[in-house]
Amino acid sequence: MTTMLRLAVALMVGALAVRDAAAQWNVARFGSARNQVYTTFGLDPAQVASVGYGRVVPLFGREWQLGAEVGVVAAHFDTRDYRARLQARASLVHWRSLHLVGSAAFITRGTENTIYRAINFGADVTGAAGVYRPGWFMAGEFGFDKAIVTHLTHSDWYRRYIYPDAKDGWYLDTGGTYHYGVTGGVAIGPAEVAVRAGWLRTEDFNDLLPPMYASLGVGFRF
Amino acid sequence: MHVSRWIPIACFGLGGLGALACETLDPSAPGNLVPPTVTEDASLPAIAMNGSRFHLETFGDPGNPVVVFLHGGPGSDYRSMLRLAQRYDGYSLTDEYFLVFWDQRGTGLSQRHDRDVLTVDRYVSDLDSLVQRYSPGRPVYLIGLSWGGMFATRYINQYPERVAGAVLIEPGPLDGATMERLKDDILDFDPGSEWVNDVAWGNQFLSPDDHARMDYELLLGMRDGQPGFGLSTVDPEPSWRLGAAANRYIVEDGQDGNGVFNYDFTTNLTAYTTPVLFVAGSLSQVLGRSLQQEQVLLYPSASLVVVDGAGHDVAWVKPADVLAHVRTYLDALKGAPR
Repeated sequence: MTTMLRLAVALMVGALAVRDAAAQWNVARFGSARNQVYTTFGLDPAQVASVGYGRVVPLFGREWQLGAEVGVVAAHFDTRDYRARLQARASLVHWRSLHLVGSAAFITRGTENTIYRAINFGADVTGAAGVYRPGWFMAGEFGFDKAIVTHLTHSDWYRRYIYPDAKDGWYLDTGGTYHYGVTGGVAIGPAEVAVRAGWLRTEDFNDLLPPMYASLGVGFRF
Repeated sequence: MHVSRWIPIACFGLGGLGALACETLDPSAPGNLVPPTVTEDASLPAIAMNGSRFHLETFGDPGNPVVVFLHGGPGSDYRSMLRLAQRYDGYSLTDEYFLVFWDQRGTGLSQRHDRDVLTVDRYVSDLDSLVQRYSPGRPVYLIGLSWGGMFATRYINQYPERVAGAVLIEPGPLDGATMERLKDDILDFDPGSEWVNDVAWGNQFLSPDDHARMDYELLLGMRDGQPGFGLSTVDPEPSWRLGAAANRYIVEDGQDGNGVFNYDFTTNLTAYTTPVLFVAGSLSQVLGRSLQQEQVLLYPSASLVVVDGAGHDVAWVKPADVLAHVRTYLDALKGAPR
């Protein structure tokens, strides 16, 4: 019952608080132009290349950047390993240049490897606190990415050489990842360069491989 | 805000909710992702020993001399050694010996444990309990594959009088200095490789927070992570279930606080004068002929045979050839003074 409640809350957060996934772009520049396109590359958690679009809209009395992003694992350009996010991001509280920024994303991702093919639905909630000025920003971030439901289809290889009775189907509450680190960026005209780096832990705070994330992004506002 | 902007969001949400409406599975439940262990399935052949429960099978007449098989890993299981129990050219080891196949502590279908009891010393204690149980007062023969060859050497180093003979098939480095030299070749940890990215990407789907998920995900590196082993792609070694915790903590037990391998399983091998047989696969690059030519010198009396047409999985791919060498070796030991 507790698990179902957690999942329901996570789904509601994901559905209602749609915004940009990576707390990576400068909220102090939301007023400079409404639209943004961007690309990112990094270790997150595999080598991932992403492209995204965001648009700043007034909603519930705040400026929100709503957007969508798609990414694939860049190693061997493996399009079987992909991720799509619908996301929203806004400054929740601010005092002068100090902002508490909240973001949430609803995520679907897929993978195919030696032992299984999977599609997953999840949600990410991240908070960042720091200094956001029109020309630059620097913040610390902490977030949680929950794998809510995952559909697994086991490979012929796995069934033949390891476990013929492996169960295909929807698996509930398959995992979650904490991510915490720093993010920062500078603006050059309409362009913005941003970086993120930090550590990854499982939802039970166990080690992960790799134990860290890092990404570099370039965006343009228009 | 225009309503159409919410359509993709609703689709994502409905997809997730639709999944919740279906019958869902628990990734940690026994039998879903990985087979149950002996503590989860009472029908599996098992023994209780040394504070744990072990998956184990025996073949042959219990009155015959005992051969104990030590599988690889650490963290693999005995399934890939079972062809050595079969009959080839009219001969089976069961004709003359009592064969004991077992999954080491925390691996295969044996009981899972946490870090505190996953140590090399505990492994040696487990093996000694097994030896005393099946061959009390009489030395046993050991056949060790890869890590199993290292494990056999570690046991011989401590209890030379309890081992009547040993066959070491592609044993890994018997001391930490050699492991340090070869570790980057043993595991191809290229950050750009597909298997490394598969492991990292897979962590978003399944967190390694319990034994079932840890063991399941460890498999991602099994097929592609060791290209220097020359493994067969047409006749791959099977496995029951890997033991991720055992793999990690037994390896770490051989390292110092900085992660440098500092174990040495050879400090007392001069006390073991019985001939030892090393077996290598001709296609095995990292743990093959060149390494074993060095390692035979660590025993007072050891020889090496190389089996053509197989890699590190030589015991699975060329079992008849390996068995022929084992038989010749064991025959030579019969009646030999100890």
